[in-house]
Amino acid sequence: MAPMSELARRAAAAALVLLTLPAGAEAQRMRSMTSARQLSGERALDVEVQYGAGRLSVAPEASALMYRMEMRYDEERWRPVAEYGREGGTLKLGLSGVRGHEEIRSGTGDYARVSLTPSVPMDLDLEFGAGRADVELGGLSLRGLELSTGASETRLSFSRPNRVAARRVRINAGAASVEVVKLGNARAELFEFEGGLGEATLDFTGAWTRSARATIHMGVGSVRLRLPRGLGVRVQKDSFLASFDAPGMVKRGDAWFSRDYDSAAHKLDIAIDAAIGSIDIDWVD
Amino acid sequence: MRIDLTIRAAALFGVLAAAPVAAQEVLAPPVAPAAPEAPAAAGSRIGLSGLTVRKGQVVDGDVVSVGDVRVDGEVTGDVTVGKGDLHVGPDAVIHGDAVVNGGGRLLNEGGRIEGEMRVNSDPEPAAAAGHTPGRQAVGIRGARSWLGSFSDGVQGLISTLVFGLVLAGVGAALIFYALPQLERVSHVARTSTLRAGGVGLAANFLSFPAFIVGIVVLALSIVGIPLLFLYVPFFPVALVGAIACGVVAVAHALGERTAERTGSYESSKRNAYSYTFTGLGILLAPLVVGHLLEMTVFLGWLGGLMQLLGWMMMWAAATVGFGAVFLTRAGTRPGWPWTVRRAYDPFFDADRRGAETARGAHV
Repeated sequence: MAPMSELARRAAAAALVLLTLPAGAEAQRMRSMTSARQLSGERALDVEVQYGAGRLSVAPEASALMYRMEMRYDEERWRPVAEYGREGGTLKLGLSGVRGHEEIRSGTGDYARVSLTPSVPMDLDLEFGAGRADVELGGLSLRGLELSTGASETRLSFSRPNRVAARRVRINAGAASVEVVKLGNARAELFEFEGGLGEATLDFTGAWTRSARATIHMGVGSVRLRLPRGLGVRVQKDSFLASFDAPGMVKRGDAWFSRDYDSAAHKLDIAIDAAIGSIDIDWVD
Repeated sequence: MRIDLTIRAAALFGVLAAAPVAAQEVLAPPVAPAAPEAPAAAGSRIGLSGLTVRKGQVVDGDVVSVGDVRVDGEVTGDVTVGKGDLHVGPDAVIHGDAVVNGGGRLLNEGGRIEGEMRVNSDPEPAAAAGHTPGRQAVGIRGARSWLGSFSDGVQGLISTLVFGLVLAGVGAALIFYALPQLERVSHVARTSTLRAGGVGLAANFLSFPAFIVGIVVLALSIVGIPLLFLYVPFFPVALVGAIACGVVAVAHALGERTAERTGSYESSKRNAYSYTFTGLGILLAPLVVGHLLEMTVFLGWLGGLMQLLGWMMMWAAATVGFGAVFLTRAGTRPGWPWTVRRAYDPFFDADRRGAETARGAHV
């Protein structure tokens, strides 16, 4: 029989082995963080915002800051990112997963509030995983926008006109509920919407200053287009099992036209492609 | 000149113990600080009870301090403050980052900060985490919209189909490489269902303790400690493998029984593949139907019930199957318990009659 001290040593070794085997219980360790940066004569910015899960809001910054970001996050799972490259004018904001916790999972109370300068023209790439996003981009100087959402509830709004003309506004929604408000204020040349599964409301009202094109691809779900009266609209539809309800439009050839299409000051040509679901058009005064 | 990181860490040691402060201000109104002044010398500054960089003074490096810091002059590096506020005067210039840790505030009265301004709070107390008043918990499953329910149904359906494909793959491999063993396990699951179920049920409760006991025994034996590196990963893998084989064997038994009871079942389909895949279909059907119903939202409750039924069936199959695997020593226990003659299988048994008879098994 082994002496007592030997037994104790073996028991301690066994306990150590046992303790190291099971994964530790995961507890939330919430932390808040505020990050900001002053402007220093930037002429253009390339902004990337990545946020995995939680509640995200994006808005124009009221003060003379390049950006301001407030967030509350689980530090066991996420690390805040606020990287600025002065040479290239690149700005990366958001959260990145801690190694071993890369999966997207929203904790209770996770949020991020990001505000961006309206005074510097920027290309904005916004990636949002799961949760709820409220994105207000009215009054910014957007040259281009790319918004990608996963399984989320997203509201994108241009409540005020974009300060500069935009090349492209692209929205890529996975399994999401997306509402886009006053797209006309985006002053974009091209709108692209790609939806996998869910519901999408695309409101094209706003202050139109140019003609534009829009391409809409929808997998399974419903698309509702809200169009301002006075805008010349042409819709070309390619659908598999999707109903199409287009009041106030007439069919010419293989496309539907608003009655004032030929005389309208600004035109919007929409190519819509939906597999299964419904396409509805509402006219807004 | 950059100061050593260890010195900085030591200076900020107090940050770790700082109480959380809810308010964080960047560019907040000025507040008059009261802190001792730093010596008027160039180079990095470390303060243990706050410090001040006077107007006209240039710190050629970083400023690190516990306690309130006021900067009216110029700092070529970073300013890091723990357990205190950072006040940046109107004529101040900080070329690096301005970082406040431990719940303090960054109060800028109009100074120039070329780097990042960051305020980090302390971690919130565990009890408060996730229960911040006025903030709604965010979760995709929080609001059961049509979209969420449909999406869940699709995901569940895909998961079930993938699960079924994996089991079918395991079944095909077993049939191809270990058909006699599979048939033995299947036969025991069918003819000694209660006994196999009892053994499987016991395994439900005893597997984990057995795993732990095995670890302790190996660890205590010292010489067995190296074996832990094999035992720890191998035991769960073997357990999951046995359960999967058991489920496949039960599926085989189910399919065989279905074939016997269905008069229209073609004899050409009476083979182990058909039995197994038919049985898997039967086992997975409630789950598939459940997820399809879940997509409709209004029949979601029925879908939930079907999924519950499906998982109960799957659990029962796993329990009985594992018990049968255990009783037959993974189907390698010849001659046991072939006491009950099966119905003759004209397609399958014809080819195997000779071999099985030679081994003393049934025909």
